[in-house]
Amino acid sequence: MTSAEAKSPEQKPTVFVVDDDDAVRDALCMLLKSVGLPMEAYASATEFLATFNDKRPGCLLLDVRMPGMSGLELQARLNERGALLPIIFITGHGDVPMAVEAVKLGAFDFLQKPFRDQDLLDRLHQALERDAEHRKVLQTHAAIKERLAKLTPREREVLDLAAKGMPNKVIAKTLGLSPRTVEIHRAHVMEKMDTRSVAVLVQMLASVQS
Amino acid sequence: MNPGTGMVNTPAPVCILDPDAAVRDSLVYLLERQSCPVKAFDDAGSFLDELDLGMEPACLVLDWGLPQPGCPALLAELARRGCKFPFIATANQSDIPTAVAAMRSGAMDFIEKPFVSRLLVDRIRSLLHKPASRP
Repeated sequence: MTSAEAKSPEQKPTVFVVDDDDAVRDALCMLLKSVGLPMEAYASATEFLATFNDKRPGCLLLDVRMPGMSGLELQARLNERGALLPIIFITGHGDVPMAVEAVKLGAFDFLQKPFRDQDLLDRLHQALERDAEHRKVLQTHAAIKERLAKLTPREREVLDLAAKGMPNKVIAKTLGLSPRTVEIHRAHVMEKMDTRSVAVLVQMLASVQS
Repeated sequence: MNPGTGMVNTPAPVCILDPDAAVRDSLVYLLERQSCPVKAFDDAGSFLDELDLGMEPACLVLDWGLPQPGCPALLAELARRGCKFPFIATANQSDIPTAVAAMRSGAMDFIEKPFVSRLLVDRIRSLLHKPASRP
């Protein structure tokens, strides 16, 4: 990510509220404003989906029952797109199987009305935290993969063997190269992967392989 | 866990952990009739003892209302031991917060009691036939 992107307002976590009830949206808006959380409110799932951008971090506060597309349908649509945004469902009349299904499908939480404001805010902060962590991990993985892609096939071979703890001499023998050549490849690998430590390299490889 | 050893030759049992003998008996009966290996336990201690002896469950059907220290303590202990088998929670006292708490603790499913044993057995079977993934 460039520094310009990092500073763009789109990267600020936003609470997206989707609820067809004006009074609920207003109340949530007041609550979120009171704790200084940026929020955007939508009166329908369709309206939200039309402007949805998965690059924007935050959390979705979603009513289960709405005319038109329901909250659960919106969850399914977002899942189809592989969306990251964590979802906290809010419902006046949910039942246990519905809540279980929503969590199975990845919902972060399922809150029943009436709830205490503090409970909602606690869950919300947990969800925002998880979203930030999740995005950070994905970003790190992407950066590692990008660096790995810059390696030549030979450098990649040297890296894989070095990651197994093989000394240069053994790598040279295994690949039929001179130890000096392996040293050069290895230096290039360290430079391209931007680290000086084999231990860090091993961690990088493991993190993108899992 | 012993990856890659004995997975095929020694079928891992479905474990039932429930203080209610009627629940245990009916599930054991149904699973055995389907030739599914099953072991039942009436308290967490005896289940953990069996794990100590090397048992590797295929999955666990866990009564969410276990007496103190209860399921959270048991799950913490399983996590500490690095256990990765999936579990299904069942509960008498079943409301949305309880169900969500169980699911968020890693349950693959949450079934309200009284349940139809056959339905739970179906859930167990479908759980065993898909790769375990816990959030």
